[in-house]
Amino acid sequence: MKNINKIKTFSILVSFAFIIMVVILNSCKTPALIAAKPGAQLWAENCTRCHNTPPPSIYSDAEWEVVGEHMRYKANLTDQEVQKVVAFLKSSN
Amino acid sequence: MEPFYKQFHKLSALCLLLVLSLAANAQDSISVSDATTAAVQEGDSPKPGSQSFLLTGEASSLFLASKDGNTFVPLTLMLMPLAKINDRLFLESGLKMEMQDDGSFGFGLEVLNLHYRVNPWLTIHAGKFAAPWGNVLDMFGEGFVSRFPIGPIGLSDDGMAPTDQVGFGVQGGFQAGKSKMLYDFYLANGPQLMVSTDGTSDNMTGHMSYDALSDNNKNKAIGGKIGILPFSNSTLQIDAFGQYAGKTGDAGSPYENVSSSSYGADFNYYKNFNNAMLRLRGQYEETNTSNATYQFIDTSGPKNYTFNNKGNSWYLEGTVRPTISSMDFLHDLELGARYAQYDPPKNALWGGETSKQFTLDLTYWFTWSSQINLGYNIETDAGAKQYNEFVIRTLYKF
Repeated sequence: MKNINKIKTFSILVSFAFIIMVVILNSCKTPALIAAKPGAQLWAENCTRCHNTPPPSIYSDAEWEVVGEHMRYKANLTDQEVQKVVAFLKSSN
Repeated sequence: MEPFYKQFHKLSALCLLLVLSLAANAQDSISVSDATTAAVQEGDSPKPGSQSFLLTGEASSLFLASKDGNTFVPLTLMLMPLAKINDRLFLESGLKMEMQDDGSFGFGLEVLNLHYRVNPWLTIHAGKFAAPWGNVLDMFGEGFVSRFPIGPIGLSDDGMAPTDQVGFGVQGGFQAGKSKMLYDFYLANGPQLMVSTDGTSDNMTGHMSYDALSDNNKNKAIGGKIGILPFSNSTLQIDAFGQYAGKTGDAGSPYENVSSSSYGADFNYYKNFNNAMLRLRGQYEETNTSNATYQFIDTSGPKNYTFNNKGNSWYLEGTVRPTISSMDFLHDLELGARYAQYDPPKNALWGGETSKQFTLDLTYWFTWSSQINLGYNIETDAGAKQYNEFVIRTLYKF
């Protein structure tokens, strides 16, 4: 049992170390291409993470504002992603 | 599921008042809108309101068929009033309505959570919220997100992991190079140890209750998750999560100092191939509760007992949906398979041997979110076949 706990503890530590390593390595690069992603691309990429992409026409501009804010908390979207996706949906509905 | 209306009547009433007040506000808005329209006709500029409101939700029904019989399960309705009060304040709520087995009507407050955005990467929230705990209950909690008519065994309300929380938390997401990071931490009332002297398998002694609104002691639970989306196209998400409560028993009782710790990890991945979209999802979680000596009473009188109070559960699922086909009908189909396993504490009165579940599902999408699922579910306990059943679910998202 002690060995199992040691393995679990070790696995957790390795996982955290991996995450930190990935972040550090990625932070060294300038995400210019990512920052330049248009709203349509972010809409397709992020909605599809969990569900099918909703058509822009199903909600009004004001309702997309609410949906965007909800997804900020539900799917942990970044502030830039929320702004771009909502702007795209409002321009396309 | 316990009838929420008995436990949560106060907050349910509060939420109902909230909905009514928002509806009343909407009525006011209509009046204002009419006035604005009149003003526009007279040549003035319209002044849009700063608040936005959306009533969304979903309705679902089930049909179950096995060799022992078949039955329709009454409609379940989930209403989700959402309000963006201003650029920083956001209200999220969820009201679940369903028929109970005895014919009564259940009304439950699932979510009532107020968010305040401090800056682009930090939000504070307080209220009743789903624990940021695994993708089954957190990200895939809404039925239209799940492709399966029933949840994985041991990872839904039937399991040992945290579900609902009452408290406050901090959360956010931010870009870290090509990757994205997210976090969600909370301080909440936490789980409550269930204790009973009933000598039957209905005795849930040693199990945790996660849906109580008020705390049973002065201790609070701390928990949360961190996640990473390592690829720039967000196709993969990996989360690690945990919770610790130092005291879970009623204050002043012999069980007050029984502690509970839970942890786990999950992943969510999708990939668009030339002809199909593939989704893979999985989760593992484990809960350890410190041992205690309990007592039950049967025909021979009171008896003391204890057990190793540890359990775990996990699942792995995959779905495939055609994306290129000459037949539109095929575009709307999605085929899925899932395996789930639940290991409760063996010697608990409510525990036992390993339960295994295998589910096949064929989903037909009416719209981007409304669907009908045709499922076949096999569950076994300790290797012995328990039951096979067909499950049909219809779900309408609005």
